[in-house]
Amino acid sequence: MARSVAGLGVVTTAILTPYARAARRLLVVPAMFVGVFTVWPAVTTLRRGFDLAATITDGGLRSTVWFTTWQAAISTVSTLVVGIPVAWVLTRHEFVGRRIVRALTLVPFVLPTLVVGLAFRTVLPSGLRTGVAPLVIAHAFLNVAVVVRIVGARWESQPRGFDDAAATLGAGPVVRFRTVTWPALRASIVAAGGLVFMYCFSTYGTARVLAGPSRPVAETEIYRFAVLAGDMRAASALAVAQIVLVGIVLAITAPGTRHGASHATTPARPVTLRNATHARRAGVTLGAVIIAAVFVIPLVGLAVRSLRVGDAFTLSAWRNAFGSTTSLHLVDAITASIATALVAAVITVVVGTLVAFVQVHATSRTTRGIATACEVIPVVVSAVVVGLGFLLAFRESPVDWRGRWWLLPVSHAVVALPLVSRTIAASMRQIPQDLRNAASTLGASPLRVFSSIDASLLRRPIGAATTLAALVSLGEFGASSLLSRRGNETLTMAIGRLLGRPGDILQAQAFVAAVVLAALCLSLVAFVDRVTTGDIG
Amino acid sequence: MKKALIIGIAALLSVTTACGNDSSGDESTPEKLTLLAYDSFTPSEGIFDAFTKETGIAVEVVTGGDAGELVAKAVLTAGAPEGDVLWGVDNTLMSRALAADVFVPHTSAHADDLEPAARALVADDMLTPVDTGDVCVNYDKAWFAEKGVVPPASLADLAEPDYKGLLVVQNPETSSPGLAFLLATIAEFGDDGWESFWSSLRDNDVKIVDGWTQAYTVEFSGSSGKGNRPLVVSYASSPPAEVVYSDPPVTEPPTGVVESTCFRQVEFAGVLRGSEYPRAAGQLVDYLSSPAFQADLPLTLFVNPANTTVELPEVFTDFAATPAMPLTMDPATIEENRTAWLEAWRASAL
Repeated sequence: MARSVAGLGVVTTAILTPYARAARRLLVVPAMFVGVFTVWPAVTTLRRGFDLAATITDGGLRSTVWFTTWQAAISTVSTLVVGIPVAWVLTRHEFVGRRIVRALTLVPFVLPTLVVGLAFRTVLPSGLRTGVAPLVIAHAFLNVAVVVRIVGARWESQPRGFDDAAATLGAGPVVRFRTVTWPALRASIVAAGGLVFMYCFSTYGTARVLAGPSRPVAETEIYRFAVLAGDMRAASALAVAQIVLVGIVLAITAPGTRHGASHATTPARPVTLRNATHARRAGVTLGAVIIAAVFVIPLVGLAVRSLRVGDAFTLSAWRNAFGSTTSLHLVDAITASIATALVAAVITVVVGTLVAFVQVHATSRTTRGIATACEVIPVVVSAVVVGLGFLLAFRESPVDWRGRWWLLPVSHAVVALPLVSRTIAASMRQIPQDLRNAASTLGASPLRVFSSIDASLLRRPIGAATTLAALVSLGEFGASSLLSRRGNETLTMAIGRLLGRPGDILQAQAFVAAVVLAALCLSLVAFVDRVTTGDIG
Repeated sequence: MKKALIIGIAALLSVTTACGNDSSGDESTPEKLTLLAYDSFTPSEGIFDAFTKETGIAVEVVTGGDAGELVAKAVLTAGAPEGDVLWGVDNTLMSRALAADVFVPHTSAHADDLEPAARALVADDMLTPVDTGDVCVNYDKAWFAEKGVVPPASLADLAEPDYKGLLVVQNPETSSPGLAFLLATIAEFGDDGWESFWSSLRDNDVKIVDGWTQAYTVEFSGSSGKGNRPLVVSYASSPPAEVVYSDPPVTEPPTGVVESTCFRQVEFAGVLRGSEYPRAAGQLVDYLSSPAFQADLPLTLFVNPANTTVELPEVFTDFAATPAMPLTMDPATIEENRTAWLEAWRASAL
């Protein structure tokens, strides 16, 4: 805020507002969280063998890094090209079933990759061959939800009046997009693009299933070297390359201080289809139908597989899952999944909100930089490296945390952190300083200002962020599967275990668990959508 | 801010120190032992009750990852293990674990009943064999009957034009059955022949996928996934599993095993170095190799018990292949050559 008053910068930064002071103190929480649960374990692993010269000269490693980079770039562009129109349909229009369609877009994001792949195969019998094209398509399909969430949230809060005014003045759709929509959305598109690139660069499960053995990516190679071959030198080299590359991209795409004018004082009302032009109505309807179809297909596939045992259709897998078989304890797995997701969501939202708060309100560049580092570090560091680091760092008595139940939600929270802090920060920046100034002029204490202005305006984005964190936790089956586990398995773990055994009943039960997981995810999204929507009657 | 950071760290350290428990020096009987195992370690519920009743020690099973990940974690934490006993290191991974000094020796009370060939793989009773299984090519009986094609009879057959585009295997770099199958081809064709065999497999349109799940449940036509490849690398015990987990019950498995392609895997359990209770841990290894526990294995883990006094259930004797002369390889040879073999495999198979 200080820098918006050009020329007075030096004077204004000297007087710290209560928010800036708070930001400076609150930084300690995310810094400690990331320090203890990412930096320390990662450094412990990397110290086991890193050799810069070898990294640069090894041709195999170089080509892995190169392939990983370009497939991530293509995947990101594809995701944006698909995701922006989807966000337009779903956030600028009001129609029957909008919420459901929006919730559906999140399903592939949370379902384990293998399950989505298997489900697709059920409905599309020819099956996709492995290679770069299926990998890119899968990445776009999985990450559209990120674009819809981040760009959509911004789009939703842009008043329609601007667009209408431009139209009244004679601007066509292209001009309107270029002069009204694009400037407003640019920052959120860049932020979403940065996140998608990061997820596609550090791709693991998708790449293992779809890229094929001749096209390894960085994270799968780190896994292979570190876990299977015991070659920590090559694993560390790749991990460091990943840190540098993804770090650069995230630094470029991280939101700066403040974008554009804050004008979201009144939430935009989406266009009701009845009032729209014929062309627009047709376009939106068609778009919604296509989106729904594409995202419903895997769900139908899952349901079909859960009902098919051998050649016959039967409810026996469902009956068994709720009965007393030893192969799947469905109720226990649901409880374990929900408990883990809840704890993970609470941790992520607390840490993520603090990161966002510091990024938005700190006046010192260093403080803001550390906050951004907290957000970026957990994702640029290879999950395999952190996973192994948990084993190596948390082994001595005062911190012998291996096998503790809370490591699982903590590892999920680490993965979800940037998604959450970016969602919250984007909205936090939209809150006009004038409102706070007005409140404090009227005698409100800083805490009162925060609770009545910031907190109430952030209710919705925090709700959205909580959903995202919980969803990431529900579906996470990456390096956290390296963690040793006692007690009940989650749904995701049960799916992985059941699919790993021969036998029709076990396979059908895996899909029972997958259907339950998808249903859990859908109802969570719908519930939070309802709770956080401003206009509930 | 710096002050706040220091206070925060101090607070964290004091909390965690307070939580730390001190261990007693001499070995008393623990209340509970921790058994580390791979994710698919699913014996019958309550199987450890008999052990607890006899010794007063509870058993907590801790899982995390597949066999390869399990061993990798044990190697990284050698000397400061996550548990007392480890179940599931096999002959393809054994030498790596032994080289990292992961285990302490223990001679099982049932040592004399355990399969001698399996026991002979380990010197000084560093590990106790607990089960054996064979990785073999499985075939979809219905597909071959329908097409009027005779199923392959040997590894060499797989490179024949009759079987072009029919086989799906796992990547040996990431999959344990995949590695076993690669070792089978090396044992069969020798140092001079296996690479050219893989080149002809490649020319015969072999499909290589990431892991067992994808190969068996997606690509293989004989399983629930209804893929389009009728030949897959799986286990000798997959046919009885298909019978046990069928609904409605079937009397004949839909799949068969090409016995001459089988590679023998032996799984071991061992006492982890650094366990506070090596004596009690040894008792647990005794129990794991006892007839009471071993009899549970065929129909829960679908492996052959290492204890030869155990009688196999009928569905197992009827449908599991028991190759008379499975291919096999010395664990030390595997460890010595694994990296080079995998690199050569990449060059000839991809």
